[in-house]
Amino acid sequence: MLGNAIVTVLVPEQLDGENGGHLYGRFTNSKAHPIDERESYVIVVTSASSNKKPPIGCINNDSRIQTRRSTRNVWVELSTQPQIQLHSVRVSGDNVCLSEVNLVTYNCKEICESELISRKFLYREGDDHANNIVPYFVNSVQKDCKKTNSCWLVKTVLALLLVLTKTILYVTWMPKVLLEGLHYVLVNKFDYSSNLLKQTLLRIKQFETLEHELRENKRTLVAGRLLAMIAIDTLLGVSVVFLVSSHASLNDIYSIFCSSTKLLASSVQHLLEWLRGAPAGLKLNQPLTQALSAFFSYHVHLWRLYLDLADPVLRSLASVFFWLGMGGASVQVAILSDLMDLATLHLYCFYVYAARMHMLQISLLGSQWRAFRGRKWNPLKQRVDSYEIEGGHMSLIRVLTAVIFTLVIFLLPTTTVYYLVFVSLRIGLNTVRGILSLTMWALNINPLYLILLNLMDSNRMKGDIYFATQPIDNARARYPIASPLALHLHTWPTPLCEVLLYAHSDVFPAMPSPNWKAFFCSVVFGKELL
Amino acid sequence: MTEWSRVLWKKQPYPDNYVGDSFLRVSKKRREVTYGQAFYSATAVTQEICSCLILVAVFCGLSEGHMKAAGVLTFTAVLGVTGYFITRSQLRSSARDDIKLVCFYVALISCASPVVKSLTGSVATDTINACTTALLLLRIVHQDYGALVAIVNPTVSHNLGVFASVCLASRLGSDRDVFALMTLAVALFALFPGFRKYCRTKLGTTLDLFFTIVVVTVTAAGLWLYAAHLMPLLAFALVTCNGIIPALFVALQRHKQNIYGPWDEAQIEDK
Repeated sequence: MLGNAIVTVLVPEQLDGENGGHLYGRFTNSKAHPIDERESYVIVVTSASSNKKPPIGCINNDSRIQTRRSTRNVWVELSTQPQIQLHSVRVSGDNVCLSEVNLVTYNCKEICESELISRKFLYREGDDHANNIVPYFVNSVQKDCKKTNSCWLVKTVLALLLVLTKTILYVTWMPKVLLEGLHYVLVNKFDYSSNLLKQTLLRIKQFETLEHELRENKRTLVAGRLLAMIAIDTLLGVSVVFLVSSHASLNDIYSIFCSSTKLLASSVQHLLEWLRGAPAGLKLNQPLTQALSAFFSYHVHLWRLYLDLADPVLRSLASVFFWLGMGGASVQVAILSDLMDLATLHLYCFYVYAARMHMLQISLLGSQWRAFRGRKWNPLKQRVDSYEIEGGHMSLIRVLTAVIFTLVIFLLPTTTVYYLVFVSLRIGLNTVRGILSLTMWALNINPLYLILLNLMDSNRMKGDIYFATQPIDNARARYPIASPLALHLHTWPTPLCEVLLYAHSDVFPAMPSPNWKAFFCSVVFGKELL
Repeated sequence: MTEWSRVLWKKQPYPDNYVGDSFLRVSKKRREVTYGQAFYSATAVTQEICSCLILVAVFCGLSEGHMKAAGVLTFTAVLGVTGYFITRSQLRSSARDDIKLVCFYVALISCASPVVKSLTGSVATDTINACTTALLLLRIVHQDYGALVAIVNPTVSHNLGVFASVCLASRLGSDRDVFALMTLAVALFALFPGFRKYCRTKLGTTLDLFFTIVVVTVTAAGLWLYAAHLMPLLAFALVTCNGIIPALFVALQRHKQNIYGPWDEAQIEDK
């Protein structure tokens, strides 16, 4: 309850200056106060234009005329010139003394357009509304607001957008099914998640969400954000495509890509030659390093052959990618990321070989070191136990253990050098891929629309309410007997981070962050691959 | 008066706090060890040192070409068969199993030989020498000489010996030499300690002493022929191990203050 009054009247300030007419709105009351045995009332005036409901008051600018007593539940009389003033309030036929009335003026447009206010002041059906005014008030204003007509231009634009979205979804229905199948196969069989497929599927899901939001014919923040994001993305993509195609043709781009891949292959070859000798002055075990270097060089040679063979297929794929790039800048970044993966496939293979060798070595080292001291890992009790040697074949195992331990210790530097080289290459490539992922994420969550709204202090960002007293000039003349408490209801914008959290949906992906613990475990032990 | 005896369950005519002569019967200030006992126990260490030095001598001989691989192999085979027949009564496995075991050993070491040959190509000779010395010293430290202390770990000692021999063997020139040295190492470090234990426990003191003298003579001969620069080391080791340290031990014994009796600390068996 505001103050000690039993009636609160909320009046839109848009009524200031109106000539006459009836007032329409809603009202409710609460149960009797336990001590005073008085009921409290809330009267929300929403408009002065007629609708099908019965009026709850009228505008009476002539102070001398008193309208006839009405037997309705509540009757509010306002005078709107020169300012909004309360003339009289009647509840169940009886006049209420004005000193027990609160008069609150509010800006109807602000409350109507804001989405966030109804989230903050949640309206529940059975609550004591006369004592907890704000949710009831917000709910009544927004319900009555819906019936007012909005601008016809906005309506046509929304309808056009809805039709466009529906067509796009219809067209991409079949490709979506195919792409989903392909993505599933790639992830489950080859353990490879293609960025391009993910981005296209995400884009289609975004269109679905947009269509769902637009269908109810309201302008939500999520819909606005999605639209702005897709528009910016497509604009960037198309402009990049036109920029690039004005400088070089498709063939040029393809030959640049081919020559850079060949350059990569020959630099890997140089690297292996370097490792075969004494890299950085380290003395490696000659037979082992020569064997490894020969094996990897042969692999690079096979890779070169494969590239030459796959040339025509890649050429046709290149034009497909070029036209796909029209879909947006994020799709282009995804294509770039996938092409990079494809071009460095042999490096990934080398990393896998080296990692498996390293893992074998580390686990052998661990188990043989334990066996060296006469201990063994007990998997039942998950601890290290000692074990006794007896019998002939146990001494064979002992000799075998000692020999293997020695071999692993002496071959450790060579294999570690190879592993370190390939791990650092892999980490470098992963960093580049991570940067591309971050770019894609930033393009996908684009909060530019919300930032612009916040800067322009738009009504849709308002989420908070506070009351301020309004001084009444010449109170004695206006209210000779008693004066009501006059307040004004101001709205306040919600902070940007809360808006970002609110205007969130599944189609805005989470930020890709690396799992550092898994990363270090993988580098040191080699069990899982980076 | 009956003699006072140190029991609680008998009713004796003495007062409760009576201290008789036999009160301290259970305590012994120390267990006295004579010089002879100390010397005899130290021969175990001597045998171990000698076996390590035999390995080094054979390595020197092989690497300089004085010895042939076939000779080493015959020597090892003869020793192995002799030892096998002597300890025959103690072994629990049948002859067929043992022959299978020998075949496995031979197969394993001949497979490992080519790999071992090029293992330390990039390591300097000084490093190898220092490494081997340290490893053999550690082996002597950890070997089981019959004392029940925590530092004794026969597995570690055996593995260190094989590690040292792999270090040495990787310096040799041909596959055959590597195979011969590694077989000798396995015989010395895996089979010899068991044989020594058998001698010590079953054959009696005189035979054991005789055996020690045989081992020392063989070592001295080997070192004289192939690694003359290590003879002073052998002499020094023998003198310290068998002469100085037991004498020191016996002389300092009287400073020990252990009390042995029924209230000894419970010793929890670790293994």
